Amino acid sequence: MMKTKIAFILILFLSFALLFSGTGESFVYAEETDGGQTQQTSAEELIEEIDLSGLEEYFATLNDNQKSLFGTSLYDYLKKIVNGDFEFGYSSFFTYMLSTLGVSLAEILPMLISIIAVSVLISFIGGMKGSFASQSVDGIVNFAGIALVSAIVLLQVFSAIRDTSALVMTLKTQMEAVFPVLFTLMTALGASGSIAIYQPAVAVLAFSVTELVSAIALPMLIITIVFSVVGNLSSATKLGGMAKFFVSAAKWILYTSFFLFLAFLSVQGITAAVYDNISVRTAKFALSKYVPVIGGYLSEGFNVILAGTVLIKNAVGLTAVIIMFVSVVPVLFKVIAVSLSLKLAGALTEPFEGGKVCGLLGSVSSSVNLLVAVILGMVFLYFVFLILIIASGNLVL
Amino acid sequence: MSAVTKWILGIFAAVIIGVVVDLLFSGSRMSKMIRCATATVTLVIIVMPLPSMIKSGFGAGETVFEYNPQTDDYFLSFVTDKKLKVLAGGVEEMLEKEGISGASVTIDAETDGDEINIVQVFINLSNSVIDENLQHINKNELATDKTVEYLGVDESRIVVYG
Repeated sequence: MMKTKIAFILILFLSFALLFSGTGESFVYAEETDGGQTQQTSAEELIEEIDLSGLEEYFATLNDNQKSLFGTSLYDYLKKIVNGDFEFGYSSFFTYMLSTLGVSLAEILPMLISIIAVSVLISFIGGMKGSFASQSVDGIVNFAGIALVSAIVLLQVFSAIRDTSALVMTLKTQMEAVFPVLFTLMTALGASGSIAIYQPAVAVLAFSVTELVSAIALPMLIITIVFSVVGNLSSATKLGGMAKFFVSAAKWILYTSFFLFLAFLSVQGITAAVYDNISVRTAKFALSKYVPVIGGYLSEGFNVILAGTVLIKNAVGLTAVIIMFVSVVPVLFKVIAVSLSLKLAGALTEPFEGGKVCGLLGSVSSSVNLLVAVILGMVFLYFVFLILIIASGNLVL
Repeated sequence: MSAVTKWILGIFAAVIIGVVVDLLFSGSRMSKMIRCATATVTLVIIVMPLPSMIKSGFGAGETVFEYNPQTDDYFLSFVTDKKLKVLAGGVEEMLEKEGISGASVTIDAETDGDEINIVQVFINLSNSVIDENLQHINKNELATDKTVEYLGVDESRIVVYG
């Protein structure tokens, strides 16, 4: 849980750093010089020609609440960023986050109330039985109560797992829409070294990592939750140890894969960025082999094209980051709300029931934390990837 | 119904049946045996799908290497055209500095990834004006020589007309 908190804070910090960046020699806004009008015209001209249909198709699937953060169509939003008219709506973003949190809390409140009600009932009936009922009846009542609580908890938890699985597929769809556009722009810049490295890395991220999460991590989580519930349902079948094993195995697989991928990407990305900054500068001055001209009309002309391409690349990257956050926030809040509400329910029912229900809620809540780790891990990888691509080729200007 | 769902339902069914039987026979001499049997059956149900899962493996490897994000070739050719126009503009500026103003240059090129290979350079001198000091010089030859020097291409690739 500590590690997921650190990852969450790191992502928030990097996001704000990215959104606040753009002072002085901004890599997003066009500079206001005498050639500014020409620069903007060139970038606008370029943006009209690039194929953003994949991204527009995805943008159309966002709900009204999410689209309202952008305010306009995708093309117009990109043009605003390129022209320097971009202003990130912090208040609307915070409003969106709060409304999403409200929806998540409203969804889990009935679960919380039901669990507390069932625990109170179990405790009440247990106190009432006195000499009227035998141990068997007591056992049946407890079993019925725990089975009911298990059913309520499982409904919410499986809903959270389903949403997480859908989010992983959503992020994969976003990657498939965004990366071809970014690679096109990087090719136009002459950043062939970066593309040679990023293209297989995208394949690994979009396929292997998402497959790892949906085919291994999430099924292991489901197994863990099932074992936790079954272990608490029956005293004859103790599966707590198995549940802990599967959760540990899932954590090790996820954290190791994420770390290895991130380490590989960071090292290769930095190397590629340095290589491409040299090769793009060389291409700018020499057009690969023809023109040994430094300065003058030619390099200024090239600067206009390259600057326009870099502006669009950064605008697309920034928009992709915002779209990613807008998609992730509802699911992340829901999963955190489910995890915390299970802990809260366990704390509130402890004085009444104090036994199996508490144990059940506590173990399921610990398992649900893995979902938070999965979401934050995927978001962090995708985010770092986008940052590396945004940073590639910027030093040529 | 997916395999995982069936498996989970199987586990739940075994546990619930075991609990009900345990409750029915609780306190009797058979209760310990019933608990042992329930635990064994549950464990068998849990372990049963593992051999087939290990055999089939996880098919993520094949799709990774098939994935090839397609770049927008139309946009790339548009950018290349713009770069060629800039290059042509550079040649026009160079010719102007060499005493031939008003020349119109067009460049045909092939692209190989991000590399541009010039195929032909067309220089239209019909509207050009040569500097007074260079009136005695053949402007076609001058334009060709300077362009060869500037672009580093073979003379055969340069077409001067007008």
